[in-house]
Formats: sequence, C-alpha cells, structure tokens
Amino acid sequence: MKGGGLWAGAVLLAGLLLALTQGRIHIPIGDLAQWLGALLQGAPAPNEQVPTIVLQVRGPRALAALAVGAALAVAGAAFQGLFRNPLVSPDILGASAGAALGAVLGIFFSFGVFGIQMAAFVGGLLAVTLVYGVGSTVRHGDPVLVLLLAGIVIGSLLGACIGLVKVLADPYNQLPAMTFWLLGSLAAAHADDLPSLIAPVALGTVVLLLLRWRMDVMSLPEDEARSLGARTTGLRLLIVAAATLVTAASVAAAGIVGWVGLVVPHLARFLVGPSFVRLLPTSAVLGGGLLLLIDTLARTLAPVEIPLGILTALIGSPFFIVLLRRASRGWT
Amino acid sequence: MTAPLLHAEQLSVGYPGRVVGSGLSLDLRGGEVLALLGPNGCGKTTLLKTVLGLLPALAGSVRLQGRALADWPLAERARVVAYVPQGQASTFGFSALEMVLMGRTAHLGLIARPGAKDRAIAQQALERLGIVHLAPRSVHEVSGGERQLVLIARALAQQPQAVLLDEPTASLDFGNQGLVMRAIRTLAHEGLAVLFTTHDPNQALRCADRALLMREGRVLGEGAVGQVIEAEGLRALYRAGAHQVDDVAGGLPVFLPEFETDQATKR
Repeated sequence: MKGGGLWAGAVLLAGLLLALTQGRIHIPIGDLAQWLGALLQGAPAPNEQVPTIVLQVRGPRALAALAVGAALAVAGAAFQGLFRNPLVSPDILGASAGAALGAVLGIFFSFGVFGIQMAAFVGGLLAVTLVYGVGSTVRHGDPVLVLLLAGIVIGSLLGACIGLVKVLADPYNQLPAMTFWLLGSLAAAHADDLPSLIAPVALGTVVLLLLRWRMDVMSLPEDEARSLGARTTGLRLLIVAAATLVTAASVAAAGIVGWVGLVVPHLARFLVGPSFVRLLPTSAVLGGGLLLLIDTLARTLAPVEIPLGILTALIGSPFFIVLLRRASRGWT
Repeated sequence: MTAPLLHAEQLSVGYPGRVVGSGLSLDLRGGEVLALLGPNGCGKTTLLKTVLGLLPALAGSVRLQGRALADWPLAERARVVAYVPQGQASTFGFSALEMVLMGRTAHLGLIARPGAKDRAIAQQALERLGIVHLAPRSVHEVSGGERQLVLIARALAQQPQAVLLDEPTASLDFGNQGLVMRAIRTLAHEGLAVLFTTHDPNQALRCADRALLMREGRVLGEGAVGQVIEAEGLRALYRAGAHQVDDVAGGLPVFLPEFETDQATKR
C-alpha cells in the first residue's frame, strides 16, 4: 500500500492527542497547544492544570503505553520472521509465561511493586533462556522447529506452576492482585518506573532495527539462509535475546497484554509489505499508537478501569479473524 | 585441464547414525554443467548439501579451490558457491527484487543494508535471466518456473563461481522446464560451474556436459553425458525398463520409461 508508513504515523499522533486530552478532566486540544507554544517560548503555562496532568499523570502513562505497544509489536514481528510463521506472538518462547510466574511469585512473597516488576522481568528472561537451552541440546532436526516445540512445552509447564501458586495464594489479598496482574494494566505506570521499562525496550528495539535487513534473510529456510552466507546460529540467538528483552520488560511493566504482538505485525505487513526494513519500524510506530488508543479506552470507557488485556483481546480477536480471511490468499 | 573448482573425494554423506552414501567422488570445473541422476532416495540431495557445506561430511573430503570446505568461513564460501533450493513458496511474499537482493548477504556487513551497487548487481542478475518485469511482483504471485528463475537470479547476485541447484525443474510444467534449462546453459556459457540434480535423463543429456549416476548411495557411472546416459545404464540405474527413441531431429536420443504400450488398450 502506498504511503502505508503515514497511516502508522497518523495512528500514533491520534493516540497521543487522545491519551493526553481525554480522561476524568478533559483538556481541550487548544489548551494543550497553548501550553506547548508557551513552553517553546519559555513563558509560564497559561493554565497550571495542563502541565500538572500531562507531565505527572497522562504523560508517563502514555509513554509506558507507547513503549509496551512498540515492544510487543516489534518482538512479534521479529519472532514471526524468525519462526517463518505468521501466527507466532512474542510469548512463543515462554517470555510471558515466565514473567507471569515471576510476578505471581512476587505477589505470593509480598514483594513491593518494583520487586514484582523485577521478578517478572527476570522470570521472563529465565524462561526463554531455559527454552533456548533445551532447544540447543537437540542436535538434529530443524533448529527453528525444535525451539518452537521447546517453547510450547516449557510454556505449559510454567502455566501449571502459575496455577499452583494461585491455588496456594491467600484468596482474599493475593489472588485478586494476581488475577489483575495477569489481565494486564498500565494503571500503575509511574514516572519513576519508566526508565526500567524504556531502557531495555530501547536497547532491544535498536538491536532489532539494526539487524532488520538480515531478518529478511533469517525468514528464509535455514539451509537457504546459511547458503546465502548468514551465520544463522549466532543471529538467531541475538534476535531472540533482543526480542526477549523487550517482551520481558513490557510484560513486567504492564502484565499480560495479548494480541498486540500477533495482530500489529500483520497490519504493518498489510501497510508496507513483508520486508523487515520497513516492517519493523512501522510495527513499532503502529504498535505504540494502537496500544495508546486502547489504553485510553481502558481508562475512559467505564467508571472503573477495564483491564488492558481484556480490551486487546476483545478488539484483537475479531480483527484477527478478518485478517485470516484475507490471508487465505497468502501472507502478503 | 584446469584444477577443479570443487573436488570431493571418497565422501561419506548422511546424518549422525545414518549413512546415506559413501565412496562418492566428483569434480566440478568452471564453464561445465554436471548432472546428478538417480532414483528417489539415492542420496542426491544429501550429497548436494554436503558439497555445499550445509551438512558435515561423515568421511572423505570436499575441497573448494583446493581448500577444505570446513575451513571456509560461511560468508566467504557463499561468495564462491551459490545454492538454488527447490522453489517452494517462502512464508512471506517478498518481491522478486527483494529476494534477489538477499543474494548480497555474503557481501554485506551484519547491520548493513543493500546499497546502490547491490541494487545494480541485482538488476543485472534479473536482466541476465530475462525477468526484469518480475522485480516488483510478490514471489507468491509468480508461477513456479518464474520463482525458480528468481532464485537463480538470487544465486547470480551472490557473484559466485559455482551454482548448485536441487531439482530445479521438479514440479514445473513443460514450458517452465525449458526456461530453467535454458537459464542453466546461460550460466555455464558465462563460465560458471553448474551442478544440478534431476530425475529426467533427457534433461541431463541436453543440458549437462557430464553426468554422475547414483544408486543407493554409490556412484554407478560417471562421464560425458553421451556415454553414460544410454538405455542399458538407465536400466541399471533405475532397475526399470528404459526405452530409447533414436530417430529424433537434432540427433540426441530420447529415453522413455518402459511400460506395456498396448495400443489396443489405449484406444
């Protein structure tokens, strides 16, 4: 599609405007523009309320939504290429399941908010390391398929462990917290926590962006990629490490937010084609913009916040069915 | 005679715990086409992958320009030998041009993207195969034969000295088989060494200079196509009747698998 990248940019812009203006207190776009204009001239803000809301409440949360959405979309696109399968999502290697186990354990042992986030982050990294280790011990067969199967096995094992911790947890204090965490939310996003989200997301995303042309080659069958001169074993490890870093960081910050990593790469492929040279940056922009829109819905749609994971599933699944019908003509 | 570009000697090929072929030797020189013939499961593809360095040799040696294949760094090797796999559809519908540009992988650094020079080389490869018009089209949308030509163009973009093709005409229709065979002759004419596997002795006879006949992991015969591809040899190779038709314009005989040609039952 011509100008596909512009669409992604438009979604991002719309997401930003809505996220900053909508909420319990409505900020007219004019006020926002006035304040930004004053800021550029170094003049004091005409309305004190605007900078307070934007800088302390909505801004940090918007940044978190952007980072999480971009991270999940970029990791999803990378894994879809690496596994040569358009139905793969970023949690395919157990990153989400590992992070979830880390988080429920953190809640079980009554860690603080930061402690729970760290436990989730470390859990995600450990799970993928375990999957990769198991996959590497199998020396025959297609290494990509072996890795995929190892991911499914370890993922279900981790799922069982999560279930066990939930059964053992205090049903009045801990279990609701676990349930909410597993449904995903950005309500707890705070300016102080942003660096621990944005730093790993930025690092992983930059690595993937640098490798994006190689990722085209990596999406070919193993033998083909190697005969073209790509050092597939090392590249695969690097791509998995980078994608896992961004996934674990975003799951640690927002809980389990499904569908974004699966659907956004498809949308981006529809807009700019399958080559990662354009697909990856478009996925990042589109993923960030869409999650920002959905998070704004999550906090404005009802008197209570709707968990993010529920909204992404509600919007994502019908959307995906439409994509599937289209894709019977082949993954573009 | 010049030293062979690719030289395999007393090669055992296969997978850990499963030897597919042994005692295999072959030479490949620039400007020459070698056809690898044999029944299904005789080890043709395994031999091809071993010679390409995609599978380690179980025994024996493969030398590329006189240097052991295992000592070649991956990228350096890809600048000398290119591989054309069977043209099954890729997962993602890259454009033909994007596909051909991937042939530049071995010439580019880890984080580099193809530049103007690489684009010119890819364009040239498309021109040499007469498929410039396919450049913007998705490889999902072109025919099987055109896809095979795109993969050959990608091999050319690697700027190699040898091109190894795995059953380049398998599952192609009549006209597309001709297109691919012509492309193979073009490569050899330009001085490249070409090795391809095939099921069709007639293709080998017309397209290759030499043929290597393989059965059950062993070499049954090797030599100029005119000498090794004859009815008796094919019967031994396929353990099946072979019928030779000699009165063909152009001089080369045609071989057909033998079956009951009862004209009465046909009508």
